[in-house]
Parts: sequence; structure tokens; C-alpha cells
Amino acid sequence: MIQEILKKTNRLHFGVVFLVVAISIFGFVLLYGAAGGSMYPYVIKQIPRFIIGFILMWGIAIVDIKFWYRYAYVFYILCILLLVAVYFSGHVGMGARRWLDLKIFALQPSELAKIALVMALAKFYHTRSIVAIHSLKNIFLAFTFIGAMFALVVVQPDLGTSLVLVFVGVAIMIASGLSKKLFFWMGGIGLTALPLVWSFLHGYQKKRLLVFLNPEEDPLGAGYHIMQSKIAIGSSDFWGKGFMQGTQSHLEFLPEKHTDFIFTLLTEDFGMFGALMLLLAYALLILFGTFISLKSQSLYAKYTALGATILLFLHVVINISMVMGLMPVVGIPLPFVSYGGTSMMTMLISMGFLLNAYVHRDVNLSGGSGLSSGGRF
Amino acid sequence: MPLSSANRNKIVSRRTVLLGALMALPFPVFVARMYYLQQILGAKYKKLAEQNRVSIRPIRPERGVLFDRLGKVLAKDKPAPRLVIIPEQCDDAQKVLASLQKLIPLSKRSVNDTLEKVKYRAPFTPITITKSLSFNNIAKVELNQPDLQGIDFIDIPLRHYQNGVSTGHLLGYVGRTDDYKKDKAEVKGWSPDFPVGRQGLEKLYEDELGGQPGFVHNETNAVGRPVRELERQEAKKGDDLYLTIDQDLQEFALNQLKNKVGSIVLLNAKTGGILAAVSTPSFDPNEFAEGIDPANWRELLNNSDNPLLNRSFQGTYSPGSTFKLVVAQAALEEGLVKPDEIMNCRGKIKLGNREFNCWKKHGKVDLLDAISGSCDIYFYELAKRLGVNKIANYAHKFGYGERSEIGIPEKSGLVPTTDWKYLTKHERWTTGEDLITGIGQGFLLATPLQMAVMSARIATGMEIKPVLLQKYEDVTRQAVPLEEKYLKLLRQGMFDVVNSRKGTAKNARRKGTVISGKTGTVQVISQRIEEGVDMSDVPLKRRPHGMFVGYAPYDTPQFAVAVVVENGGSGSGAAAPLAANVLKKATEIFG
Repeated sequence: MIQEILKKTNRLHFGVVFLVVAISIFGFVLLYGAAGGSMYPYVIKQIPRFIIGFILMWGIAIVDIKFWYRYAYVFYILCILLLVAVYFSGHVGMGARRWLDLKIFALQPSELAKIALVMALAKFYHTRSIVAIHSLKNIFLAFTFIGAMFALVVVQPDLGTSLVLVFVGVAIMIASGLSKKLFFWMGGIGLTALPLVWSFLHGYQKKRLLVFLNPEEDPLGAGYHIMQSKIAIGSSDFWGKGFMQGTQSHLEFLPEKHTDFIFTLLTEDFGMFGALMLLLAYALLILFGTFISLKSQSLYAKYTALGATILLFLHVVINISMVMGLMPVVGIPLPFVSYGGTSMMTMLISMGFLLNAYVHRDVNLSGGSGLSSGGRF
Repeated sequence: MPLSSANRNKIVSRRTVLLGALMALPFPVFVARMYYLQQILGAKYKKLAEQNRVSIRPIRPERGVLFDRLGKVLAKDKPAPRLVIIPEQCDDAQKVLASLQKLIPLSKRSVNDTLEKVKYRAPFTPITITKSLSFNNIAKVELNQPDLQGIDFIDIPLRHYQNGVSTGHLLGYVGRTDDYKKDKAEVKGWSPDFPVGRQGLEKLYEDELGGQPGFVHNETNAVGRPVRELERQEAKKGDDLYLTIDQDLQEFALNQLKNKVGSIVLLNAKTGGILAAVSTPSFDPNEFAEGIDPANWRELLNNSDNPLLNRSFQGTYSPGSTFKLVVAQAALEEGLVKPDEIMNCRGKIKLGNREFNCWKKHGKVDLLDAISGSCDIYFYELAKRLGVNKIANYAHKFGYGERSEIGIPEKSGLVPTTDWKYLTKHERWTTGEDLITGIGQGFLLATPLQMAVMSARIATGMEIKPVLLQKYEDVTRQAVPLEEKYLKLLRQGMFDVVNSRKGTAKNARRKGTVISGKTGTVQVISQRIEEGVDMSDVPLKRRPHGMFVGYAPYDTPQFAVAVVVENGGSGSGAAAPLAANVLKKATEIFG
């Protein structure tokens, strides 16, 4: 047993592990600065979260991939049930119903949903032949997988997470080998549906989108975040203003500097150089993820690895686009860096599944239309 | 190509590479965006960041001083020490506060509040530990200051009222405004923290007293500490104001009303300058300087004697028999009575089924007898001849029913007419109501200030208007539109009230000056309390109000006074002696 664990631990992708640890430690440094040079109140809480999440990641990685494969749908159903539970009894935080109070810790099922959706879709496409997936029934089923979760998350309301769900779902559909024509159709339908989506948005969400288009118009209201963030980034230079010397972040002009806007703090203090380093780390992580997907034997492993990578990618890109004023403000934290337990856990769990695919890259999963089995389901 | 699994593998790999390439796309965009923000727009954002770094601190202007008529200070900004802790100057705030707690009484709450602030405020900002410290405790702390790291005193200017209680209503108080935008929108640079006049003269003359705030533009470093002064404009002190009030008379009048509920208004009869205006119970405006203690505030609000009401200007009373002077003037000018016409008072008259009583059987009275003896029957008759509308016409000439021009919150009182009753109550005026208006009761309402003004107008024959600022005293007054020969008769009647054998206020005679006046006893319940009843047997709140209006000296009037003592029992017993004391004191002070 212990030998098995050691053996599998030895098979972990150490590049990924190293990058995760390195980015997280860099995050601690930034949080230390955000607190004005103090472990309190952020770092002291963030480190235990990281340790627990790290152990979780490792645990997930070495559990047999067959186990995750077998229960993929079960996790999905469980997540749906949790989301329904949240809808009826969830704790309202910051105006949205996202949290499930489990007494010991607050569970945010919409975070688990991202991973459960990846696993369920991976199994779904693993078990169906390339012909089968083009059947109307299966296309409909795939959309149901995505749509059910999207619907339950968007009513919370959590626009950011629901968009992530759609993106990651569609990405796995693309990877599954579905005909390109299908995606052109989807794109067309999606564009025509935009006005409909607009009418379903909440007032504050509409306002954010409008303010994004012209933040200078309302510099003290909804545009404040974007404006201050741009000032902070723009007023810095290549080497930055120095650790804890950033005037915007540390003089409290920048709100949420320790959570969603921590990238701004980083850029102000460490300049473009610091930002490039972090971007490089993320890019490498995404590169490793893509390679892991390519190297995996089973389709299930390929899809989960790719799904986990895309989740990471979406968080990074949405967050950084937001703070750079390239996208409206949606509450998506920066993976491993932003203060907050939920994001840290989700990202580490998701990395756990990426590593799981790598550890079990040579395993052939039976029962699917997988590559080596050749069987039809 | 057949759709085999090997083919699927190829497709999936191709798609994965495609997705990987797509994921790479945003990264160069980010780099370009950062380059754009920093290199192309950098100058603009650097400037904006710089603006973020300039802190603007408003400078509080010193408030104008309020002086009394002789230049004695009534209200002035006075430095008040506050005990503060400067976090960066001590290693362990908790320890320092603990040793401070051993030295002086400090509530656990204020210690905890302070510690909370030490955690979050910038380390160079002094944090107030307590505002109220006795002189003794200040000395104790100062003595031990070497051992108390980071503990210091800061002087904050606070409005101080030298004779708090006596001037409470008149001067009002300062405090944070409820509606800063409305009150101070035009004053550039005014900070919501600066006190503004909330009541009384402080509020009335806010524009003069408030002054112009200044400002300092500071450059701040990364932690917000001012490092360099960029620009400074000093604040401009508010204007000083000289009041007509005489502080000694004000204090004296307050003492006269000690333990009583009522008001005294003393006017300079020639100018209308208010020499004293007190209202009891009073309050200490100094309590409001830093925000009044909630318990004290509740006590002020819940006190059934309403200490916050300025009775001098806002208390409305039936003027009672003091109003008979108005009725007499009206009847004389209208030619409805001759001064020597004799009427017979049998203690009551009948009008229809209703009986109207006099407070005693006067027998045969002429005008002067009726004034000095305050005969109700005589004035019922005059009122019946006049009707309320003619009475109202004259009442206005004496200053009733209208606010003065001072601008201080004031009630207009009420002078009823037949139209007024029809409009407000949709009822016809009755002759019975004529009669009771004739003795100053019924719907009639007047403030002590109005009664004092009436007295001054009778005394001088001039159209006296009350003023509070010395600079407005030098206005030339016109004669009041009333016939002087009849006013002379009123003065004679008022002289008799105090100085004749049959007068109702013989107890108002004082050595050194000749006082004239008129008493009034105003029922507060509908039934009349019989003559000869010992007032101490009547429940306090059912006792009649005592009124007195008067002036002195008789031949060269200098001071006019009105006194109201709520539930005092009678005008002659409760009000007249106080009025006489105040008039005598004024005579002494003016020499």
C-alpha cells in the first residue's frame, strides 16, 4: 500500500507541483505586503488553506483514476443536488446566494461544479464513439450537462462562474472531436441569443458592463475599481515601485487589493517584470497541462487534464483581463495568489485531477470507446 | 477516412493542440496591454497617481466671539485638552493603556475602542482616548508622562459658554449639522467635522460667526504621512458680535426664576435692545460642545417642564389682565368710553344664560380704577362695545400677533378676529368670546417678548422693536400709531397698579426707582379658583399663571419688562416682585 503511494507520488509531474508551490508562495509574499507588512490577517489564514489544499491535491492525484472515472457521474449528480440545496437554503453573501453553511466550513458548490462538469463530460465523451457523439441525442445530452449547471449557478447569481462553466464545457466538446460545423452553428446561435442574455442580467451586472466600456465616466462609482487599477498599473514601470512601495495599493486607493485585484498590487510593487514572471509561471503551467493531456492514454484522462488546464487558464485570463481593464469586472480570483480559501481549494483540487491524469497516463480504461480498448459502448 | 479509434486519437490531439494554442493567445495581449498602460499612458497615470497622493486637510476657522453689551465674553472658542495616544511612539499600546488605567479612571470600552483604532489607523495619527478629563487627572497624567510612551495631550478648540445656563436658550449651541450640504454648501472648504450653530444666536448669526475655513495641501508618502506642505491658506476667523444683553442682568433674572418655570424679558425701553431674556428651566449649552451625553439629552427631552423651549420667544400664553391696557386704549381712541365714565362692579354680569365673573366686587370704578384694580366687569363692558375685530386692530399696533424682526425662532402668538375663527373653526364669533378677549383670555396668545414690547411702547410712545445686536440699536424710532394722550392715561393706570392704595401690585414698589406695571392672572383650567383660597392647597399644575408687564422709571422710562411665572398662582404674588427686582437691578447697573 505504502509502496503503491510512494510509487505514484514518484510519478507526479514535478514541474506542475513546483509551479503551484512557487506561485502560492509568491502569493503569500503579496498578501504580506497587502497587509502592510504583516502576517495578519491574510497570510496567517492563507497558509493553512494552502497546506490542506496541497494534501488534497496530492491525495486526488494518487487515487486510482478508475475510481474517479467510475464515480464521475455520481459527483456530477451530487453537485447538482448541492446547487439545488444552495438555491433553497444557501447563505446569502455579498448579495448572492452561493454558500452552503456546513457548520465546519462554508461550501461553495459552484466551485466544485466546475470540476464535476469536467469529469462528467470527460467520462461522457470517453464512453462514446466519434460517430455516437454526433447523434442528436448525445449532443443534446452534452448540452444538458453544461446547461443544468449553468442554470443553477447563473440564478445565484454568479455570472463569472457560470461563464467559466460554459467555456470549459464547450472546450471539452471541441476537444472531443465534434465536427467543426457544429461549433460554427453554436457560435451563430450564441451571438443571436446575446440580447436575450442581456435582458436576464441583474442591474449591477449591466452597470458593470456599461461602466467597463467607459470607466472615466463614473470614476468614483462603479468605474472606481477599473480606474484605480489602471492608475496603479500605469503609474508603475518595468521594475515597479518596490515591495510595499506601491502608492495606489498601499494607500488604500485600490479596493480588493488582496483578493480580486491582487495582480494590480503585484504590478505596482514589482512592475512589469514581476507581472511577466507570474504570467510566465501560469503559461508554463498551462503548457504542462496541455502536454499531460496529449500524453495520456485514455480519453478520460485526456479530457480531465485538458479541462483542469482550461479551468486554470480561464481564471487567470479573466482575472488579469479584468484588472487590466480589458474586461468588465466579474468576481474571479487569481489562482493560488488571491486571498480566499474557496479559490485556493478549487484550484488545488483541479490541479489534483491534472496530476491524477499524469500519474495514470498509461492506464487503459475499459468500457469506453477509448483508444486501446477499441470497444464500442 | 474511417472513423476508427486511431483516427479519433489524432483528432483529439489536434484539437488539444489547437486549444493549447488558443490559450497562449491572451499572454502576448497582456504584455502588450501592460506596455501600453505603462509606456504609452504611463505619464498620465503617474500624474493621476500623484493626485492620489496629495492630501487636502481643511483648517477649522475660529468662531467669532459673542460679547455682551459691556464687552464681557459670552461665548468663545476655548482649547480643550484631549488625551491621545500616538501608536508609532509606543512599543506596546496595550501595556501603556493598562498603566494609564491604573492612574486615571478609564472605561474598559474606551480602552478597547482605542486599541481597535491603534490596529487600523495610520501609526502617526493621534487617537483620542478620552475627551473629558478633570484637571486633577490631567495633572496626574502629565506627572507620569515620562513613563507613558506615546501618550500626549492635544488641544481641540471647543465652544465655551462662560455663563452656560443663563444664556442657554438665547445663544443656543454649536454642533455637527444634520444637513451639512444645506447649511454650508456655499462655504468653500467647510468640513462636516466643523461645528455650526444649531440653536439660538449661534444659528441665527452662523454666517457671521462661522468664518472661512482654510486648507493645507500635503504631499503624503506611501503610508499617507504628510511629508511636505505644498500649499496653505489660513482660515479666516468669524466676526465677533456685540449683543444688547447685559450678562449681569441675565444672571440676575435667571436667579429670580430659580426653581420656577417661566420667563423674564427685559428691554431697553428706548432702543428695544434685549437686556435680558431668560427662560426656565434652562440647560447648559456647554454640554453640546462635543455632542451631548445621550442620558442627559434624554433627560432634557423627557423633562415635562421642557427645558429646551425658549419661553421668552416661543412660549405662548394668554396675556390675561395685562391685555386690558390694549382694550382700554382701543375703547378710548374709538370714543366708546370716557375716562371718567363710572361702571358698577357687582362681581358678576350676565350675558344670556352665562355668568361672567370678576375676581372681586369693585363697586363703582372709572377707567383708572379699573386698571389699577384690574376690574373684569369694566373691561367686559368695553370689549362688548368694541367687538373683537377693533380690539385686534389695536393689539397689532402694540406688537401682538406678529413676530419681531430679530429672526430668532419665535412664535407669533395669536390675535383672534371673527374672520379668523370662521376660517379656522368654521364657527361664528360669539359675544361671550368678545368679553373674555377683553380680559386677555380665550384665544389670545402672546409671547413674553411681545408683552415686554407692549410695555415699552406704552412707556415711550415709540414703535419699539426688539433687537439683539448693538449695531441695530441706533435706529431712529417712529412714534407708535396710538394717541399719546390716551397712552398717558394708561401710564397713569400702570403707575397706580404699583403705587396707589387700591393697586394690585403694591409689592412691586422699590426704593430708588418708580415702577409702573400691570398684573395678570391667567387661569389654566376652566373653573375660576375662588378668591381667598390658599394657593398652596391647589395642585401646582392647576394654579394660574402669574404675569406682570411694567417699566421704570415712571417719568423717564428706561427699562420695560415682562415676567411670566407658570402656575405661579397670581400676577401680583408671583410675577410682580420679580419684575420689580429686575427693574431695580437694571436701574442700579445703569446708574
